[in-house]
Amino acid sequence: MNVQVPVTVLTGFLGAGKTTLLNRILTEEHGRRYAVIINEFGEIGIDNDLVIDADEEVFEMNNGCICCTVRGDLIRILGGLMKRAERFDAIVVETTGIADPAPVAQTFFVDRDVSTRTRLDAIVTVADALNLPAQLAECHEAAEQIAFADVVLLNKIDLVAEDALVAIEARIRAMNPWARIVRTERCQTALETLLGQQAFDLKRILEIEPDFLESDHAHEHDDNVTSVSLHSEVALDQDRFQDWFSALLRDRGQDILRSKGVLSLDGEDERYVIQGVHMLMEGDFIGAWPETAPRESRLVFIGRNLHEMDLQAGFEACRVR
Amino acid sequence: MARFEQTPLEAQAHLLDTGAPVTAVLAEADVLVSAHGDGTLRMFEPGKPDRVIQAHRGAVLALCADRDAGAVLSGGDDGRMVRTTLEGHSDCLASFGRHWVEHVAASRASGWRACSAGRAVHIWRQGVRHADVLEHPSTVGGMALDARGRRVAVAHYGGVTVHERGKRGYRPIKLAFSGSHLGVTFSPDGRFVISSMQENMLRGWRLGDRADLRMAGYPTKVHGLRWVGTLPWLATTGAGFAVCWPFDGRDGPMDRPPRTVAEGRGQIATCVAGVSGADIVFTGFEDGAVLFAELSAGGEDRVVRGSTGVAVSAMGVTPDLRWLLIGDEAGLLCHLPLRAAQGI
Ligand SMILES: Nc1nc2c(ncn2[C@@H]2O[C@H](COP(=O)(O)OP(=O)(O)O)[C@@H](O)[C@H]2O)c(=O)[nH]1
Ligand SMILES: [Mg+2]
Repeated sequence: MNVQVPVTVLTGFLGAGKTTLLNRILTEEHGRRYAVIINEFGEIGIDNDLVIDADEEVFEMNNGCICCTVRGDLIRILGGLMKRAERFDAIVVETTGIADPAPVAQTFFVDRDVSTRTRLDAIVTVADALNLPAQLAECHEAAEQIAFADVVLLNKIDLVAEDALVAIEARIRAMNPWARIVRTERCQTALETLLGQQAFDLKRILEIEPDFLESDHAHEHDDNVTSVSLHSEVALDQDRFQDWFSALLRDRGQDILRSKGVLSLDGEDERYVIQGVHMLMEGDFIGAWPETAPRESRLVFIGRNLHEMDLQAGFEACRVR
Repeated sequence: MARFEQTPLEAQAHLLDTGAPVTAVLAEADVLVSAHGDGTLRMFEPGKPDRVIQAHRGAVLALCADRDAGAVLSGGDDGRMVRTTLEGHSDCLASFGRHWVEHVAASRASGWRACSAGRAVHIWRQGVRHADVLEHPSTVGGMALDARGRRVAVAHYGGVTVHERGKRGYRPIKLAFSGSHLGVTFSPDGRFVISSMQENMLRGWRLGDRADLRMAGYPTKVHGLRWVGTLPWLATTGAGFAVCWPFDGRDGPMDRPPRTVAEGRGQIATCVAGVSGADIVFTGFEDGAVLFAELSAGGEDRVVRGSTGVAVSAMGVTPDLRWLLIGDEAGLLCHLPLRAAQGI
């Protein structure tokens, strides 16, 4: 009977179009009740009980893990919203322009109260098509916001020529092969393309094909954030995989922003699906392999300095011999 | 399968489905007051019709007895602190706009009223028109007045600050412990301050010498803290039973194990209730069951209410132990006459 309310995280640099999008969500006739948790009050032209102020209080957890930060204010606010008699169809959390999206996502992994009553639906990043290249050059948070995204709203396309849009899309792809890129002007797109994505649902991970573009554009820029995809047709040894993967997240979790995988573990009939944010991760067996699909493992990382981690060799060493 | 069967006692209960999550319950003399997610307060008094008062526009987030008898104080996500008499008359005492009023406290001993909004605690002293405003480094997670009503303890990120009122103002005592502190309480004798944390534990300090206490081992966060009995005990939620820490002697629970009562059959306790005069505790669980337990050694648990499937979110008992009010996350209220049950 306890339905988890989906929570969408909205990130994007100052000026990208977040407020434009939030105003749409709050004013359009969609017949839904959306609560919006915002950081820059005063920008939104609406003042009602569906608009809630956040303070973006990022707290460190005392669990001995240095990069495990959570949003303390979010735990409090979501807890408060769940006490209201009227229910919400969804909640949208806006982060400030230069925020790292990780603490918000980690809050859903770490806090039991939050994860029983609500679920993280997706991270939506609004990117300013005109200014994104400059922002990527100047600020590492811009790259983080792209890296974390499940959906990138490539906004302000009215200001940019087609070939430049193609180039910027290739650059986004190189950093994040999962994200769905939606081109918009004034964030005009059906809200269904942004909300209700279930991007953190392990079952959905099976369906998403990462899109590794073999594009030249991608290599023109020496972006710090990259992605790596690993693949094996040979089943993996469970113990060796667990050892390697947990050590990797423990030692390099600060640089690994997101990870997702569908694995064929030796001796198991079901697909093992994992996903992680920095060093936090969850995994589960999600049903049998389809008759038609080959039993193969695929693991994708998005992060910094991935080339230093010997990912290919480490992964291959997990294969059954 | 229900973990706990329905009880004969339930046949005498008055059930009310309000549809609005029960956020708090307290007893003010023999009146039990519940607060709800739709801004209402409900009052139950033997022999009188139930009362419903629309005290707030949004959810009621905090509830306490007011500084003078016959009234309660509440805070809500409409940004207001409201005083409501037991006759059902409401007055807005203060408004903080977009900030939620998440904590309220009042003292009959000193006549203070206090509430928190964002990072600030506002205190109204008796006979003083303006509020004293105490700012903190992060949002107030919990707030409590001591029994004399002269000190306020404030939980926040990084520890607890105790503000003591002297001749010329407040003297802050900073009790630091890294992490986020979400709730706080003074022991009834005022010697200890205990906080509940984002991590699954309690932290405490003996104010006299700042000796610290660490009460860990909980599988989940501790949401409920309640002083019960004559020892007294600090009864807490967050485990598969009520975890009760002894606060007798100089050292309280230092290097002593807690007493655990009310075995929940594999589920987490979500609510505890009791009174200061009796060594008993009522424990509510995730599945709606409520157990009664005596804190004396060897006492057996008794089922007060069987499983309903909805977590107990608030509970209160009258000081004479005659009436119990159980509220749950879905808004069901269960008002039970306890004396009908032998032994309870
Ligand atoms: N030309 C153009 N301007 C836009 C578009 N989307 C938003 N804007 C404008 O860009 C400015 C910044 O948008 P805003 O939503 O406030 O960005 P925020 O800082 O992310 O909240 C505002 O003046 C918007 O009207 C777009 O697609 N094209
Ligand atoms: Mg804005």
